[in-house]
Order: sequence, then C-alpha cells, then structure tokens
Amino acid sequence: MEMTSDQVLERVKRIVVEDLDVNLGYDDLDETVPLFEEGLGLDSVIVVELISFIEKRFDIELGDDALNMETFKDLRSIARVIREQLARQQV
Amino acid sequence: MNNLSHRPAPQAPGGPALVRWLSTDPAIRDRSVTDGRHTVSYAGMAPLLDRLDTRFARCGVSRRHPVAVECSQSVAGALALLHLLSREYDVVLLPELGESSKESGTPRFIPSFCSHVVTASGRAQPGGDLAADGFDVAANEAFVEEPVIAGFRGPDLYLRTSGSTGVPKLTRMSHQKWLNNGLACVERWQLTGGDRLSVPVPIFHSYGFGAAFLPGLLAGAAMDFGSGGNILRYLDREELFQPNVAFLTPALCDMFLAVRKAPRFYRLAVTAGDKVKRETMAGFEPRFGPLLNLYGSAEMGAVSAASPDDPPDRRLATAGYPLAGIELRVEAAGADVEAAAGEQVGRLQCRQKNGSDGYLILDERWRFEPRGDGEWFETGDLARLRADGYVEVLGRSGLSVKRDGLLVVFADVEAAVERVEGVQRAILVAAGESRRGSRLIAVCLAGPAGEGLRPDAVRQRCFELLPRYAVPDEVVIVDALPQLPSGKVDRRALRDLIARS
Repeated sequence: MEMTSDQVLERVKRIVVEDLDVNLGYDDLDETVPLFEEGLGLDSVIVVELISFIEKRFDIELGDDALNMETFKDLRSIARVIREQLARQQV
Repeated sequence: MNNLSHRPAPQAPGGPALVRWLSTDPAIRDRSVTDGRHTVSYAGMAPLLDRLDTRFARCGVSRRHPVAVECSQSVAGALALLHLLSREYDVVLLPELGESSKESGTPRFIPSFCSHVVTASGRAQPGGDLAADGFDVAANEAFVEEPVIAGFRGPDLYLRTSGSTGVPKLTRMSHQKWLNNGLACVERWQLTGGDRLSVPVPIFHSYGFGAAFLPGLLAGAAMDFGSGGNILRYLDREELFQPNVAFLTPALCDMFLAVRKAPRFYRLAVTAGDKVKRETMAGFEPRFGPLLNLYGSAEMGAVSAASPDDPPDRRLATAGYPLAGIELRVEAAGADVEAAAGEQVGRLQCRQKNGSDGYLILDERWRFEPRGDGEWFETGDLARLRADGYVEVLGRSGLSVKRDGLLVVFADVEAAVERVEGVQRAILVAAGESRRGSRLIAVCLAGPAGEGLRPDAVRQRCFELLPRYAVPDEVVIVDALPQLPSGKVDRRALRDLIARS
C-alpha cells in the first residue's frame, strides 16, 4: 500500500519528536520551518541521526543525490524525497 | 630518552612578501578562495587588503598595540587574517560570536591590551562589496596599555587555549613560526597550487589556522571555507567546489561513513582534534582515500602528521612522524608499561627551535609566563614513540590509572567500549577505589542504534573486548555528555556529575 504524503509527513514528525535527541514537540513542527539554525535548530550531529532513522523506519536508502540542503530544507521537502524513494523501490 | 634526528623547519615567505607572491605569481593569482557566498582570487585580494589599510588608518589602528580579530569561517575571515599577517600586526585570534551566543548572553572576550577589534563577519551579503560590508573595525573601549606586551618584538599571534581552569590564557607564537610550521605541513602532505582544499574546520582555531589555512596560502591553493560541520552543507559545497584535499574532524569522518553511499576519493584527508576510532580509519580509506592523522596544539602548532606516502597500516596506527623543525621525546611512564623492543612509552614532550613561546595569563592583570628558546614542552599526552620514528598518541597522560599493577590508558578502554553495538561515545571516569585499584566507570552515550542499551549488557561485552583488569567496574548510559566550548567532552564536569550521583 502506497503511503499518502500526509502519512509520510506524520511519520517523519514522529521520528523528530520520538527518536531524535531534541527538545521538540508536535506543535513545534510546522512542515515549512527550516530545519537548521533559526528554524528548528537541528545541529550537525542530529542531522546524521535523522538520516539514519529515516532510512531505518521507512526501510529506504537515501542516495548521495538526495543528501543535500535542498532535500533537508524543511519537513515537507524531506517527505517528498522519501515518497519518491519509496515509489522507486516499489518498482 | 630518545632524541629523534630532525630537519630544521623551512623558511616561509612572511609579511608583505606573502601577498605579493600570491597576487602576482602567474600560476597562482587566478586561483580563488570561496565560502559559497563570496569568491576572491589571490590577485583580487591585494586591492581589498589596501582598502582595509585605509579603514585601519581612519580608525587609528597602529602596530604599537595588538589587534583582536573576531574571525568567522568565511572569505572575510580569511582576508582579515591575511591582512593582519601581511601587515605584521600583533593579533589575538578569536571566534566571531554567533547570533545564538549573543542571544544567550555569552560575554564577548576581548583582551584589554588590544587597542582595536576587527570583526570579520561571514554574514555579509553575497555579491556585495566585501571590503565595505565584511569588516567592522572599532576601538576597544576597555583598552589598557600593558607594559608586559610592549616588551615583545613581534609580530606575534595569540590564541586562546582550552585550559581547564577557566582563567583566560593565551598562547603566543610569532607569525614567522606559524608560517614555517605551515610550510612544514605543505611539505608533509605535498600540497601544491593545483590542490583544492576543503576547510570546514574553523580557521580561528589552531588546527584550521595553522594546518589548513596557512598551508593552503603557502601552497597557493584554492580553498573553500563554506562547508562547516553540517554533513549536508559539506556535501553541497563538495559538489560545487570539487575539493581533492579535506581537513576533517573525527566527527566529520564518522558522518562520511554514516550517511554517504558512493565512494568519493580525495587525494588525502587530514583529521585532528580528537583521536579517530580505528574502525573509522579502516572504513574511511577504501571509500574516501588516505586519511592522515595530525597531532598538534595551540602551543606548538602542528607537531606530527602522517604522509600520503606512508603505508596504510602505519597511517592507521599512528599520527605519523614529527614535522620539520619539531623534536619529540618521551619521559618514561614506568617500567611495567608494555613496549616492544626499540619503543618507548611515556609522557610526550616536544621542542621547537626558533621563537620564544609562552603564555599570557589574566590574573589581576595580564602577565607573561615565558618559556625559553629550545625548552622541552610537556604536551600532557601519553605517547608511544616507535623505533621507526612514528608516534602513537595514546591519550591525555592524566587519563590513565594503575589497575592490578598495570597501566590502563583511558583512551584504549574508551575505544574498546565504543566498539560495543549501540555505544556512540564512551568516556571513562575514575571514581574511588576498587579491588583492582582505581574504580572505573564507563559513561556511555547511546547512538542511533542504541535504543534499549543496557548497562549490564555493555559491561558483559567489555569482558570480550578488554583484558580483565581494564574492564570498567560500572557502566552508565546517558543521553548527552557535557561539553566544553571547544566541543570536546568536559571530563571534569562529568566526573563531578558521577561523584554526586
């Protein structure tokens, strides 16, 4: 069953709130807020955690072409790349 | 005691000669430094530096008093450093205070003996006039002339040391000595103008300044300061800048291994700061190219480094051999330390010829604690000097204890505990006594794969990974480790924490 974009986004939010070592709640997670610095304030260590949790929870591999600031601009953008990856792996 | 034979340090072009060479040599002048926001060629630097002269003159900056530079990881930061070096000012090199530090009320540290403060901000608008927007020059309102400074010959560069006491302490080393040390790095890594250097490590700390920025200049190489410690930003910059040499930290090396999927070869990558895990070293090389350990400090600059010509097994095990101009020896740690024939293990000491180093320390006033020419310097580290002249740095010499009459080096135990599945970082703390000697507690930071990590399970694994006398008496799992401003683990705070609980 293909996941809807809302479902993917919800699951990413759950990773941020429940898996990452950050002090963020669901209310903080507007999907268009930047992840770094003045946005959610994720630091360089947490980013690596986020990548590995996404790969584990969605059972996907984020290739080098997906590992850039554009993908990780905000949660919506991450969810979009995850959906693309899921679709590719289903083929 | 061993006195390794060594070669004198090469003599680097200093002062105005450096900029003259960079901006006119036809093979170099068109190469650039960049941070992704601004790009300036070596030829284009000369007029920018001249305009900074005008700003300095207007603000009444003179060579009579040291200048503090608040430096950012940017082209502006690089230009400010090159300006102060080429014009032979005495410089106190400080990091620019970030927005978050300003908000949290971190006080700005400007030594009172600096007449002016240059702030080289990385936040200048892209495409704007860098000479106008990138720099702020202001008089230091708290300026007090210090007689102790006036007696120095200079030009000198002062760096703040991490020091564990909290008392402001600056190391002093002459420009020329830093430049000669930088040229020794150029030699060791065979850097040339054709290299493209990725410099994510801060150019306002001794590693980034002395072992990346200065060698880059002295090789006339293109440099990129735009990537920082964020792996995603690093990968973005890597794609655009196409570096073939990188200056990394153990944390960045681990990030390479954790997230990158395809191999991407560098001619060489240098790492310094903390010790790299052996697994990281072994995993890095086949995918990303030779990884060279560098050992150094704010007091001595770059001390020892591996070379791309070293065989891989030697690169894995050591921090190479002393750079030109540097001598190393060890003071024996005790007869019961395991050392093969021809090896010596003990407190590492270091000696460097030219210049006279010392500390400026702020008590009531600033005072200078000199260190005579050619005196041996206690690095505070424990090391093994091998018969072939290579050096293995084992850890801080304070960070070892005797158990069952044998030496336990904390770094060794920590490396072993970090091999336990789910443990991202392990710090060993000695607290009280046990039957074997000092009681050892392994404080473990659980990694992404460390959900449900149990102390007794970690300790169980330690029995398989360590000799019995080195197995920690207790394992504690934590969510975070206290850190020093430098980003290193604050062992003292951790010790206090353990003592209280």
